[in-house]
Amino acid sequence: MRKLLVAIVLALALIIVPVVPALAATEQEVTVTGVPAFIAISNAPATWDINDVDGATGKTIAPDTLYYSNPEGDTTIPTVGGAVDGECRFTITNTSTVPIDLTVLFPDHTGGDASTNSETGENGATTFGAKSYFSGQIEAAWVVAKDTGSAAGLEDLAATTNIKWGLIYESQSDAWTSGDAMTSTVTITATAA
Amino acid sequence: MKKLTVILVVISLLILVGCIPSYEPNGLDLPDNYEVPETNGTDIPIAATPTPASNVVLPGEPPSNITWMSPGKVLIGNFYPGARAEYPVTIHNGNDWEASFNVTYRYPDHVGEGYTKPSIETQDWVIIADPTPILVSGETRNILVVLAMPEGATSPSSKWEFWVSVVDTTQEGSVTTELCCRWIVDMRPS
Repeated sequence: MRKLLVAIVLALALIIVPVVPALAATEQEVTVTGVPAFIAISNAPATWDINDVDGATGKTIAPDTLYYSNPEGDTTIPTVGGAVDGECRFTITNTSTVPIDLTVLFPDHTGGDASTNSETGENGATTFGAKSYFSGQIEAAWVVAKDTGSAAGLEDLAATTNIKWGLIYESQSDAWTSGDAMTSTVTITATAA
Repeated sequence: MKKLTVILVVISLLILVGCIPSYEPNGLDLPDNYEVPETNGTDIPIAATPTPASNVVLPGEPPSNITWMSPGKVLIGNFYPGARAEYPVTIHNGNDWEASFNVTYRYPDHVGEGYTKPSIETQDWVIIADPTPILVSGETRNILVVLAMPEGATSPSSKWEFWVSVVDTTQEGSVTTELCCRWIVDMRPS
């Protein structure tokens, strides 16, 4: 009987010993949790030819000038007390299942004078200023569209809710030198709020 | 003595029963009401292999003609130098055409309250299994993302955030869209 007891105690000890460190490690385990959600937006139209420069004869982009992607006119400022849908060129179709933030990036140009983003929203010599505005936002809420690191232009857009928006571009303060076209691709980013 | 023997045997049996691992489903046979489970940092809740959209329809999934990504956030807790966390980012191609995507580490434009932006070296800690997947129309695919912090590395802060960017590179035009998954990291208290 004693032998049996010793055998059982030994077996228990063998079982318990490897379990102890596992229990201790549990407290320090890394946790990884994916929050179930779908992020989905599309934008239309996908282009903005500033001042309709690519679609009308004799149109140019003047230096030191503010342009708006406003269907009522590219030099017509949206309502400062709150932009309305009709003053917004772009429409975000939002099929996300959670509230989202929208952030607009306006990178430096390539080609031509290669005007760079001032990152301040204001223009300067060889630099342009850029901002984004969303329908309903007052002028004070229009956010600087930077090359990188913009603040969210719109926060907490409700799930499956569309929104209209626009861009503001202030051309560089000094005269163009190259006369060649320059381009930049604006990105609007959706993240879970 | 007999009672003691019986008690010991019963205890042994209880311990043995407690050690048997419970069954957890994994892989492609997901039910329609499948919910993404929490993981312990090494389990992958969904297989990191191509899965036709017709096979897996997640609850609340947008229409099949919409391009989307999931999840919106990945929350990592108790992270520490030398630790590894992984989670798949799921991408769906809602285009009528085969589309290529760029899946990349993304320095965040902004972060949540109480969190900091990552340090420069953080991008070296993020491994994306397939950074340039090509998806046929209607295809849904899981791309495994791994955050592996080297031992001895310095954390950007106790709470920090980075993004994983998904861009459909077949987009045309001068105004494009980007979808980002926020990875929110809480370091283990030291």
